Amino acid sequence: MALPAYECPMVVVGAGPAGLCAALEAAEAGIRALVMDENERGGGQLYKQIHRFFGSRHHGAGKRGFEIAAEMVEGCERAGVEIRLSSAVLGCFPGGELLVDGPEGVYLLRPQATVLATGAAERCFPFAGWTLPGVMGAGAAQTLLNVHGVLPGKRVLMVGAGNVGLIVAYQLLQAGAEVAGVVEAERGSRGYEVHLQRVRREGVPVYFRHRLLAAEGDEGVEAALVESVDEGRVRRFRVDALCLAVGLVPQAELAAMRGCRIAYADELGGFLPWHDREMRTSVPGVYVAGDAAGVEEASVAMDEGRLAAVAAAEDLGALDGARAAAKRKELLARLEGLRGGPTASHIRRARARLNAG
Amino acid sequence: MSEILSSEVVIVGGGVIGAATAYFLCKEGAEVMVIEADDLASGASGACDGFVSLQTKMPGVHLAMALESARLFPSLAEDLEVNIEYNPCGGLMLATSQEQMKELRARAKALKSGGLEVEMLSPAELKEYLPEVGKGIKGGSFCPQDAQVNPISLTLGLAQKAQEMGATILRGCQVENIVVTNNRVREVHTTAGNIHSRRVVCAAGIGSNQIGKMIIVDVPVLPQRGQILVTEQRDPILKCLVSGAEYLGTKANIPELLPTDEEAAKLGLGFTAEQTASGNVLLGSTREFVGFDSNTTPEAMNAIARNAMRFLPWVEDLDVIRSFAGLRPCSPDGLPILGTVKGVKGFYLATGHSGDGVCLAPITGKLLSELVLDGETSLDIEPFSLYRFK
Repeated sequence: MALPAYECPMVVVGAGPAGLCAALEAAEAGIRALVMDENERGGGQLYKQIHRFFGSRHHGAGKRGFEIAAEMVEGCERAGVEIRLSSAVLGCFPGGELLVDGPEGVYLLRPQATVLATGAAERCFPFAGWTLPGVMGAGAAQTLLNVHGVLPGKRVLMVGAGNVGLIVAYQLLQAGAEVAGVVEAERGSRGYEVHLQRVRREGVPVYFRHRLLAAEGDEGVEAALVESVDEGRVRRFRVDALCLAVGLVPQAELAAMRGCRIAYADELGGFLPWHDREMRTSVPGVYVAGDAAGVEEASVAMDEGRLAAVAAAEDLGALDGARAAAKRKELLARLEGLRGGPTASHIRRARARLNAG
Repeated sequence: MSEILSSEVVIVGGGVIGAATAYFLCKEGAEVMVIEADDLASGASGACDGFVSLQTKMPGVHLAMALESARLFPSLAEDLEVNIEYNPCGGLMLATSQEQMKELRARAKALKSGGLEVEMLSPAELKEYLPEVGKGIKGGSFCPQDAQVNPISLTLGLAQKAQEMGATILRGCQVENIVVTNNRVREVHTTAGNIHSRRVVCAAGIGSNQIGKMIIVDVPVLPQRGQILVTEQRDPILKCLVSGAEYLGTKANIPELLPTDEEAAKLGLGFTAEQTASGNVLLGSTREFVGFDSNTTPEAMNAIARNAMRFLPWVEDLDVIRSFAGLRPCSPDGLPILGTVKGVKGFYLATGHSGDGVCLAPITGKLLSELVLDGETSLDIEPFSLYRFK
């Protein structure tokens, strides 16, 4: 009747870029981490990215997301890291136990260190018709396209002109869908210019200062109503799918359940587990990395994963202070570089505020 | 803080008991202020199931009180503006052994003589209420007067109606002291300032012991943790409340009905199931003394789920989406503590409902309103006096 329970040195929740890098870094310090992920494949969101990444050689620049994911998974296998897929961590209890639902059944893990690399969820907002079939997150549309090979709709309207909205709009075009337009409430795009231009070159109109009012339809989406913020004019788009790319929210549920202090940073996606520069949360033995620690980019997630593992290894006594400090110095310098550009000034501000308390 | 607050009656606690007391006092035109340390229904009232169960009450005064309370629910459902999801669905208690059947039969007899309708059912007769039960079920008792309600809506609805009738509700306000001079309550000191009042009702649930200490009265209420699982929503699959005889055993401490499994006994495990108006199934529950720890535990979640499958094998196909735990204000004999205290005029107790708070809230509110305003009650509450323990 009792639940089986297993002791282990380190559990990483989430096999995305942050989690896999945390496991790799832990392996370098001689700690065998167990990586849990509810999906059938490792790599997190990278697995469904078919575009080439920017960044530095440390982060797989020039490669496509799924290639980076495959390399990290292979690296983990070589390093002896066990990745348990289709294994959902259902809860993180006050004693530190993790409740897992996996192919082996339901069981408990009692790790000495836990790295929460649970990623982010798509933000949504309510509007008339938002529960109609055909309304979905842009990430969900991307999963349908790139993982399952299913076209989410024949004619799609994208809401949100950030990187996710622009990239998914382009991939919809590549897959043969028609994109009726990209709607954005702001004056300009927060995404990279190259993504914006690529969509425009394909003849997709981008409507800045426009907002979504409603989705219409009986059995599913048939039209979307969009209003010009400045003129108040309402435009009707005949579409059978409506994708929302209006931001991501850190998945902080496990941390909250564990009793980690939760902080708020709008620039990083909202509520997230408070953590110091070294990725320690307010609860000893619990670390956080990647989008779960504030929504940024995959390369940031990778280095945050490594930072979290360095902190965990140091706390477990597997890394001495000097080696930990050296590794940390390098990783923090790299992160500073990644967050160095003028477009990341809001991230730097939010990080400084978080670190201050 | 310069503002001087005053109220004819101050109620400490914004749970279902405090809200019901405020509601009935306001109905009589009293001036009421409710002080709630956190938020309405933030304690046990917001972390429980919706059982309004009569057949689990002890024959005698306990049952008589529950019957009175049950009679008040339909009119509350009508009067409150919030939909309290009151559903007179009836309740089934299942036995897993012939010994339990024997005990349930004896209890049914006693309950019947107390005025309750209870019917004993064979496994074949159960099918009318539950098409599919576990193989080990030997029968059960059905009480058509059992009902269900949404406890959070009930609390909020009562408070909202009271507020509409003039009650003031202070949320996030903690009681720091109760000033007694010349053997009478005079003032309540709170984090929102001092309140002049000659009448204070303690409806503080598990905080009642702490409130009692302020007037040097020992209120023997201990927190008892109950854990509950919430499943995904489904089309109606449960027509009535369902519980196992062991639930009654752990609740009323009936030796014949206690769980025999060691782990189950340690958790105070007893099966309960109800389907809420929104379609989720609530599966319960435990009775544990673990201080003020209101966390859920994986062991209990596992035990509750496994136990539920003994009674209703089909719950195996339901996804559990959430778990929660509430701390029930438990009295030494499981009965509420109602009435005045010796030596302090104007102080009234309405606490210790021990998991019966939702069921007994309407009658508790009504009786307390009578006691505070008239000094006497329509139902004898002497058996619920604090001094029965001495």
